[in-house]
Amino acid sequence: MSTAVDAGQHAEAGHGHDAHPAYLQHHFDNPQQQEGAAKLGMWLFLGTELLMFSGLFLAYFYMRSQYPEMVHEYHEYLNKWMGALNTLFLITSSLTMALAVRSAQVGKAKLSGRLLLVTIAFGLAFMVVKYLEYSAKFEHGLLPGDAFAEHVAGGVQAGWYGGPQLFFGIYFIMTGLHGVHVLIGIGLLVWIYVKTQRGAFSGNYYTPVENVGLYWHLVDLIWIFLFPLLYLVK
Amino acid sequence: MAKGYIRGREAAGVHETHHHVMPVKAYLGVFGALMVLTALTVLVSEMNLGSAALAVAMVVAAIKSAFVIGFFMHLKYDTRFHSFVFFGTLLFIGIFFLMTFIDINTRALVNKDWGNTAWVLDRGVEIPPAPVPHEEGGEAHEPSAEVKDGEAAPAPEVKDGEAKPAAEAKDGEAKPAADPAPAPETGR
Repeated sequence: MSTAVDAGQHAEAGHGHDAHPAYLQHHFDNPQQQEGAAKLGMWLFLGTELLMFSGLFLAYFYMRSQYPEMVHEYHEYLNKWMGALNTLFLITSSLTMALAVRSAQVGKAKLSGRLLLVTIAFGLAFMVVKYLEYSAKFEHGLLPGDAFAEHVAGGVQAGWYGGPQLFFGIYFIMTGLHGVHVLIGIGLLVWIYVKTQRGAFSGNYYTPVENVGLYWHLVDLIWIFLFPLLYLVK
Repeated sequence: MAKGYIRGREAAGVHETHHHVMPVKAYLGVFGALMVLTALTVLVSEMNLGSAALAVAMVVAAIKSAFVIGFFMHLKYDTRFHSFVFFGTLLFIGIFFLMTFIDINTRALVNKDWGNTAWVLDRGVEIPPAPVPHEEGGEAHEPSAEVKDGEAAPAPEVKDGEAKPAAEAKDGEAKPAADPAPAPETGR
């Protein structure tokens, strides 16, 4: 592999001690150790992300166990085809992300960059669909808490316990937090794309691509559960 | 070539990293499986399986997750310690869910013993009539929202107008001393 020299491999000048690739931080012995630390950190972070979302899933299951009829009735107001379309977008973006990481792995930076752009495009498409869905909910007053139907018919007078505002509260918190993750993911993908274009990655060093990929797959993973639970209650 | 270190000692060849590269076909196969399972999820929801629907949907979602985590996230070929972190997380999520569900499913029993009406009525458990104010009970039966063109249906009618926790709190009437439940939110 030594013939596949990295762009940064010769940037040792000025370090004042032994040679090492530019991508290797001083506090690591070798690239494997650096990569291992970075990926372990990422998996730990993903673990905390799962724990955070698990609280919301638990809230959902609790609401559903207490007010099954209400959840059943009001999930009909979510457009399941919009949800299915978004599932399609996210799963496809996960594929392109995985292929982008693979391309970086085998040193095809150009292909990797293109696949990252496709991933970003699918992420944006997801957010556009989400925007359309949210707009429809706002318009019809399908909102959490006090805001439910407020500007449509002067607010909710009764049925506070187990009312539909609970369902839309859970809906907006879960899809909202997920949407924030999609937006952050898009931002990270842009950053990785720019770095890829600058030739920062090679077959020896592509850990950031891989870690952003892990984050993006996690976003997909959460949606895989959100979609049937919110849109397909039956 | 550049020299590196292993545990502080100089060593040759340490900059070489060896990664498992999955073939593109494998990724496409996983993608295909995910698409089929997504279609299956939608189909199942159309079939009106009743109480089994949630379980089926969750099993399908779990299989999809296994594909994403195992292949897209590469956990199958990754350091086993990463699997340990991941499954450790799942274990704690499991404990979190289990404890909460034990609480939810035994609450009715406890509340019945304590004479807490608000929770027990929700679960349809027979209890002796509780002193609950009736003054604002009529309000509970009003439809929540009259929406034009039927976009948003009115809130589901409360089955039992006898005990409206919301009305209870509005009246500010003292609840039975034995009632351990926190004051319900009125939301107003």
